[in-house]
Amino acid sequence: MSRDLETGNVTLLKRTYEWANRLMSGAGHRVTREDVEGFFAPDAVMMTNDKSKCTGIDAHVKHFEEIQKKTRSVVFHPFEIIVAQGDRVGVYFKIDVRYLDGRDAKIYVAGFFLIRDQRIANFTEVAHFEGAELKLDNH
Amino acid sequence: MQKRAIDVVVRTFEWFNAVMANPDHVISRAEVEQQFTEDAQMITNGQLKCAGIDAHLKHFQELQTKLKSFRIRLPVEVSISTDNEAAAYYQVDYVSTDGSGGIIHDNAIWRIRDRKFALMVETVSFEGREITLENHS
Repeated sequence: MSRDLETGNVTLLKRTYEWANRLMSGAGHRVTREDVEGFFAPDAVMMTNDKSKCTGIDAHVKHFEEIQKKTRSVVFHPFEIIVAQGDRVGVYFKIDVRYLDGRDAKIYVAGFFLIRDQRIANFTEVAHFEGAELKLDNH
Repeated sequence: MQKRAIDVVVRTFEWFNAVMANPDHVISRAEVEQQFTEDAQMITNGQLKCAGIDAHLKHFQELQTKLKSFRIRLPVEVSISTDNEAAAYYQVDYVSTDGSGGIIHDNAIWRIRDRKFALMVETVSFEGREITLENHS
């Protein structure tokens, strides 16, 4: 039962990042509230480097719109390491960013997801920037 | 009964906290061998910082040289574990020899073999002046 839950949670995260990659491909995909509700719990929280970046659906919509606005493209690479136990999943992955002015950056991310009812309820990450930092607002 | 991977992580953290709490402690190779496999690797913010026992020994000696204090907050804030893998989010309080200090926010994943660290992959973020450390191999 627990193994099924963990497999389902990892599958949800993979689908979420596939969606995020489509959004950030530079092809002009629009962020919809409906899509965000499909992946995030109503009270979802995202913490980056000990700062609260997003709380709730509207905040996550704004977060993804802000990334689209500030970049030419973003590529979330597949998780290199995954550890799952119960409702939590720990991951390590890299992100490539190309800014509007053509500069590139790489982000190294290790973080924890808390999944509730097949939605992301919390994401707590530590992110390290190589190159220019992608500075994002707190929503 | 086999210990979970996170128990090994906590044991190693307790060992290093004790080492750093005693400025006169001389770390031996044998101590490092008790905590790390021969081929252990530590990757921090995408860089290979240590590979092998001697590299880890140099890494810990470097921390002793560059820091006045270093304490991993236990228990860790969040952790999960299987028998062989663990992940944790935790903070470290540190003070450099020049008196500047801060907090390290750390998220790490470990592979454990023979009840020792075989791989540690972490991302860290400094609240305070960054501690610059060499890559050892």
